[in-house]
Amino acid sequence: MIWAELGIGVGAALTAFGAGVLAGIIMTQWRLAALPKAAPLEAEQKGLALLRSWLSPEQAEQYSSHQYFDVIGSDTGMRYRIRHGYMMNIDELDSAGNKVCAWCLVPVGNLASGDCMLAQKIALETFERKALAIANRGS
Amino acid sequence: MAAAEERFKMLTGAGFTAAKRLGEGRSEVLKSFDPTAEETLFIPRLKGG
Repeated sequence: MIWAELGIGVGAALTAFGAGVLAGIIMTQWRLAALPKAAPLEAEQKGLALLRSWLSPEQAEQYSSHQYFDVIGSDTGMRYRIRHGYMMNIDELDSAGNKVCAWCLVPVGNLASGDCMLAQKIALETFERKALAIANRGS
Repeated sequence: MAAAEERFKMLTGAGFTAAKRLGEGRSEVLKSFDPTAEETLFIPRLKGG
């Protein structure tokens, strides 16, 4: 069974598929690589649903309550706060929870906010140093 | 399954980072195709904003 959903036109930006034993490709999500700045509502909703499915219960609760969630860097153990948004939405926190600086790290293509936040979460939680080497630091 | 592996190679070759969900919000970057992965996510190349 192949289930594919096309966003608006052709072009893959954030793509997910599962390779189940029987199903082969279970899910494929396509997004247009060059969406307008504000992604269509449907893309936004689907992006947020995908994000929620990848969040831990604690992160999901945080996001529901505050529109942000915290992640722990894979290399340094530092805490980062990913706020709802597309860019300049990552705060590095100190041990007391105070903001140290901001980081801007975005996937190429104008993705829905949920897709951006999910890419940021996975990057920081799995290849933090490599991701921050690419990111721009702000105050 | 072969089509999924082919797609994996195509996307990672094009610069996408593949990750699979481990549960409880954890994930792992995949360097090669994992036929046991329930779901694989492909992240476009990242850049500083």
